[in-house]
Amino acid sequence: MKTPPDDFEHALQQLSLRKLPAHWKQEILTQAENAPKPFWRPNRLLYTAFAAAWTVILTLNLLTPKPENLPQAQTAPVFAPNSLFALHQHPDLLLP
Amino acid sequence: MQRSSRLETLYDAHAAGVFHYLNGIVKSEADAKDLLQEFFIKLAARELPPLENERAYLLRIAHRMAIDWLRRHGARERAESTHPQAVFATPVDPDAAKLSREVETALHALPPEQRSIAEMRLWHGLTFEQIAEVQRIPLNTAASRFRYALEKLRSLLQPLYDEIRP
Repeated sequence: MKTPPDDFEHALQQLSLRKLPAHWKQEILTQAENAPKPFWRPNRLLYTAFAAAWTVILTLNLLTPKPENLPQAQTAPVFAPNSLFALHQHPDLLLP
Repeated sequence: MQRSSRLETLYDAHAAGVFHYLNGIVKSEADAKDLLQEFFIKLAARELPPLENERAYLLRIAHRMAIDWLRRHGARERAESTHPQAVFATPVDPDAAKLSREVETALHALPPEQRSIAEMRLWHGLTFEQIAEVQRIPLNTAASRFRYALEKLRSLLQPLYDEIRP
């Protein structure tokens, strides 16, 4: 979006910004280059890989059935013959 | 040590502009200089991509730094300058010099959000799209803030401008 500047706006644009003191350049650039570099730099590729890995993990998690939804054995519990015999001999064991 | 020529080129082309932008927000030359130093440390630490508009990209970083700085330093802690900052080079022509001083005074009277947009538009040559991107505001907000800023500058400066206009 560009609108042509009027005379007043144009007159303001003619003003030029004040220059910085010359010695700042040496001072600022030297400090900038000698400053310790960060150990960790944000890396777009790495973040994308992390995001993809998390998406896969989330998808697998959602698609895997929960333990409570797993099909349960519909048959009645099977007792060992010895247990059945013992219960038969001592029916009082079944009483609460 | 071999100085990074890219960093030096960026300094030559943009340091003054970035400094004045920061100074307009934090309103303290000492703090703006510290932020400019921090700004170049950041630039030195990252690999800059090829940029379509360097000034807009750099001002976006500077803007975020200035906003973070304002958040870190509460209003009480800030020692804002009560005098207009020297923004412009002093022109040789006395009339132009007078106008530049008056513009500095008028800029100082603007609300910060209008001032920064006026500066970006008038002296950094950014489009409203770029300004909106730098400050993360809607395009219409950028345009209307600029309009308000220009109206205020006009109301403050028009008499002088009419007087010195050739």
